[in-house]
Amino acid sequence: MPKNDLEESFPKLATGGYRITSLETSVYTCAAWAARETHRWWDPSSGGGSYWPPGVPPTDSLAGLLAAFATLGYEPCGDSGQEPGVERLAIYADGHGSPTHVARQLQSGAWTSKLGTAENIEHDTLEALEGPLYGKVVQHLRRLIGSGE
Amino acid sequence: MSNAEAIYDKVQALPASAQAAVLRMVELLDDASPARAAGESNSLARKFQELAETWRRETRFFSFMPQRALNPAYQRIIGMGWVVVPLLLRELQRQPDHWLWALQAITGEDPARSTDSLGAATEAWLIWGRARGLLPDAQE
Repeated sequence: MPKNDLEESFPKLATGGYRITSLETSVYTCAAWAARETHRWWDPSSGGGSYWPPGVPPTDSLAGLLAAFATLGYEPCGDSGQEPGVERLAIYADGHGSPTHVARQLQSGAWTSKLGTAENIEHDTLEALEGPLYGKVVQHLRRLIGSGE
Repeated sequence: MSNAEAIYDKVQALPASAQAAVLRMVELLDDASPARAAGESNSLARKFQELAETWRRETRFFSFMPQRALNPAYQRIIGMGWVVVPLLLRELQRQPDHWLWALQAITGEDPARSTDSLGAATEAWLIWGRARGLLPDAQE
């Protein structure tokens, strides 16, 4: 799809700054990408053909996502700032509080996102993806990472 | 054995609720003129492709299946019922995508239940379809 399709769908993207970093694929979701997986579709509600961490209730609520990422060591935090040795995620939700997207912070301080079945992008701000499709960032998560991350 | 007779045999493996729809397709193949049957088939395939393209376009930025499967075009495909199952399987074979919900909703079956990736789920559904004569057998 042309680049302007992205910018039409995410009105703040162009001014926020972004780069396309992959081809389109239906193999994995934003949640999988946030969890550093590229071989399966993380989704609590898809049934066959999808993955959800064992033992985590299969609900597509914010609480469900928090529980899923807790299995990887993430815990809620209050901001999107950058800290050495810490990796952050941001969860977006619509006006009803239903999660729509997860982004992961890079060491540079920018964010990386898998946009549905479309491309991966790096975006300089979280606000760049806020708008009618993804709503707003409603939760930040953090975990400590080793020096090799 | 004619194609229609072969399909009648395969239909016995389907749930009772599906048999009427498939048998109607067989009647079309057997009784209607070839031109009429081909016309209906082409019209169905065109409609399916239009809806599939709309669904891809309108949901391409969504990762969670409720947002993707509740899209009106996806729901209309599900509403087309059993007659669209061979088209869904062929589309899955051509370009694996998240048609699993639709297939499960229409057929009431879930041969991909134990899989956790799109590739494995696609293969499970294609095996299911071939076993029922809804897809050509895999090339050796």
